[in-house]
Amino acid sequence: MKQDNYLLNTLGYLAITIGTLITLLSAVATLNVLVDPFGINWLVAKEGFNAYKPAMYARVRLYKAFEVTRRKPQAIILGTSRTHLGLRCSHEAWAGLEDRCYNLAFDGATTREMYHYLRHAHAGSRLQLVVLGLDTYHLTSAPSFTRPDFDERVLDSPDGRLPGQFISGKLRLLVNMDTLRASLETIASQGHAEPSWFAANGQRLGPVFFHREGEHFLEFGPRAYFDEIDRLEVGFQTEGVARAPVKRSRPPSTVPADPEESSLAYIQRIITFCRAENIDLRIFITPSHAHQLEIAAATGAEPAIENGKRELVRLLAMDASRHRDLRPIRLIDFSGYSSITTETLPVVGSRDEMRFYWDSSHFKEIVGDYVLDRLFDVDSAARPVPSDLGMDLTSDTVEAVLAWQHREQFAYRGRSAADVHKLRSLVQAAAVRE
Amino acid sequence: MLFHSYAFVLVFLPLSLLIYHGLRGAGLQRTSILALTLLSLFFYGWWNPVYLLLLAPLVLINFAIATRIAPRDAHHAAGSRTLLTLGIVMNVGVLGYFKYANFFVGNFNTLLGADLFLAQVLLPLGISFFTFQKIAFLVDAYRGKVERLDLLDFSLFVSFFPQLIAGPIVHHRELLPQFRQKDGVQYVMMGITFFAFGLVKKVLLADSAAAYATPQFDAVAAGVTLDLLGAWSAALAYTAQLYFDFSGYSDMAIGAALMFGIRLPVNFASPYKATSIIDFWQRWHITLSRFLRDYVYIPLGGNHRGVPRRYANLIFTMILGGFWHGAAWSFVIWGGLHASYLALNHAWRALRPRILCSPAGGLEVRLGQAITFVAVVVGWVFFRAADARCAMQMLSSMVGSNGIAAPASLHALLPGFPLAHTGIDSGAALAISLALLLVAWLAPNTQQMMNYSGPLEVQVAGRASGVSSWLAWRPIPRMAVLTGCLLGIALMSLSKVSEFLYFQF
Repeated sequence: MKQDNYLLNTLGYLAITIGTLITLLSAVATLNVLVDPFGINWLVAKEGFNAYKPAMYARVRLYKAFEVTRRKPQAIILGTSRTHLGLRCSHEAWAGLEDRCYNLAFDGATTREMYHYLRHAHAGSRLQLVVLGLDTYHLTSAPSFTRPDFDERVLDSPDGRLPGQFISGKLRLLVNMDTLRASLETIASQGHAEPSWFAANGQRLGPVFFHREGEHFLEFGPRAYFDEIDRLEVGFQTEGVARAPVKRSRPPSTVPADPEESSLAYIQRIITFCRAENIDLRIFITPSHAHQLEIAAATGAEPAIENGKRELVRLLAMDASRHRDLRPIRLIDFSGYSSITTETLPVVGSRDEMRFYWDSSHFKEIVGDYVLDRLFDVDSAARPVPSDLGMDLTSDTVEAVLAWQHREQFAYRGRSAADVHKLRSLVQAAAVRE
Repeated sequence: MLFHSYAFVLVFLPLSLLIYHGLRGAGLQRTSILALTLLSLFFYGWWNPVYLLLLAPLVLINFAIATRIAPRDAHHAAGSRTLLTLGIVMNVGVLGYFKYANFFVGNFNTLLGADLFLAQVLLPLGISFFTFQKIAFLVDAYRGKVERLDLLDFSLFVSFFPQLIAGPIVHHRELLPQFRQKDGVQYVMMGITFFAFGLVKKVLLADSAAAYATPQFDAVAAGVTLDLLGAWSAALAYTAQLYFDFSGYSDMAIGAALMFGIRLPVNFASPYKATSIIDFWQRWHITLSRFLRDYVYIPLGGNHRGVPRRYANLIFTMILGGFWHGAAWSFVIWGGLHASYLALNHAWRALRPRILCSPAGGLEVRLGQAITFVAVVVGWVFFRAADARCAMQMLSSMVGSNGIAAPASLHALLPGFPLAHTGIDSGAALAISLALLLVAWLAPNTQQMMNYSGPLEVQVAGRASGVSSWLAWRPIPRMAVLTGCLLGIALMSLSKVSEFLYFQF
């Protein structure tokens, strides 16, 4: 056989094998560094080559992990997509810190993820101020979890870097088949670039995002889109989209869930961390539209949400009693029924936009401004905050606030009977399907 | 530590090879065996060091028993048989506690309405494999079939890391003599190529199939009913996943061992090419079949005590084999299902000469292959499903009881059917699964390409057919480049950069 003239010895064979391996990995890593599809290093940003990075938008946690390290903020905003969309760093509340503020919120964030990102941001630059936006589903003693694109290996810790973290973090991302695929797709997509809906300070720009070509908000109109999100929310709440994957059959676990790993326990960790590091922490519960509250009520989740608020108040009261010489951490609940959260929907078929909401879950920047006004006591004559939006929750006020919210709920149901009936019908239909 | 992890591929394996071959190069052969034993224990302890406190004493106790029961001058010492029995009971007892205690307590509570409490017992890695190895060793020591008893060799035989976690179930006759051999470096080239093939099979092929199988089986476990195409796509995806997972792991085990100059037995030989279920079990998990035959089926009487007893032995052995795979009723059902397949196959073999005179032709062979494959797929549904109820629901969907829905990819071809609203496109799942299964059906297996027959030149099914000279491995530059590329692709596929889109975002 002709090739048998070239039989190799062991060292020769290994040298060629390892040489090929290193050449291949180096070539891939070089391409991935240059194209940088996830916005990790930004060494090269060239129009027509890699300036448009569509892969980044589906990996926001990854992108923000590197971006927050690069920007070294002193103030950050933590939260979910609501906070991601609604809170801007150019607000007066950040006076003096506008250029050192970063919106570190991302879609579907859990308290566990927020805690790790808080530590990561603080490891990169000492934080002074943190605004934490919580959704009502965070206020639970159920275990907190992480989403598929959460990758702890790329996050730093204030306690210092772990050995080999560069290899398991950045290098692993560069020498990776998914990254290679994303690089090739990035190069191919440059001819179809869309305007970026990411602000440099991390905020998702609602007017850009919702007005993209093909986006349902633009295609079907704001009212139809609002209804679509209502239906999705009903499915989410009744089907448990976020439930953990089912594992193979095993005997039922006799080990109770670890209370230290609950969603509320991670909020506690955030509080403790901020106290220990002298970070000014301000917490708010996000102002979703009343439709979200009605869906929660129809699915029977309302008592659990109220208990979650009581539990959060208890955590903050404990913290205040431990730090009597310091200002108590402020918690403002925007999630009740107010003149903002009960905004009337456009009529069916209309293409009119709502003033305060993109959909029942996501509020617009003006509402985010109200939130920051209240949290930081900013008094803007051009933007007076409605008096019924946002109630301070403390041990002294929580029961009164909840009772007031019940009264407002009753009033809303009287005013918007058709909306409430429709939402309840959706929930009932979903329950029957289940 | 898993074979398909950065820690193993980039750190543990290269360092172990350097230490081992460095010592051998310096003429320290026994020291190299000691080093390999310690490295294997480190490999095992990486997962959970506490379980070294289980493995190490078991090695010592089994060795002590073996030295006591091995016949001297063809005579057994008094009490040898009792000691052998005690040794077997101890090994089975440890396996029983760690693997089956929760299962038995759960069933006891269900049956009698009791409320016995047992903390969740964590299963030590590889316990099912090294338990069988030690039992075989004890039995053969008692029978006087172990030529040399050496604690260091025995320790490495049990703990040798390439076979520790997922087999093959190595027989001492195959391994112990190799620890005394001086050569071995010449196998490194073959080993790294074997390992590269295995790694690619695992991380590229098996994991691609898993992306379609896992969500659909999980959906069924969560109460979702699949349609006919969805159920078949899930079952076939899992059939492909398991094939490349096991095949890949077997290749990696052989490859890792070869790099240390040790030849492990072939454990996997193109099982989906089997033309009968008997043939399947000579190709699938070959060393388990061998253990069950030699240490369960034959001691029970095998086929020497009449036809009814033969079938009873067969059924017991296969159910035991099923239960060995996992502590759940679905594994027992899987074992029972294969026992019935084998019984039917044996009955057909006995009956066929009476009704058909001609030898089996091409059509009959192909029909046999098709029937065997479908029977195996049905078995895998029980093997993978969360429980027997889910398996039955999946099978019900596979026979069309829950209708047909057209996935988005096939909607144009199936206009009369409603559009499927599932997370997985069953059309894509079927396409990927069938492509992978075509490889399993048509391509030569790794040992054929490498011309590898294991430690004792054992002839295994599928070995006889040759491969083209283009595919046959030789230590030439082209093969070295191919190996480097395979390793590179596999390394780049070891971890995912997952996407997450919330709601419509």
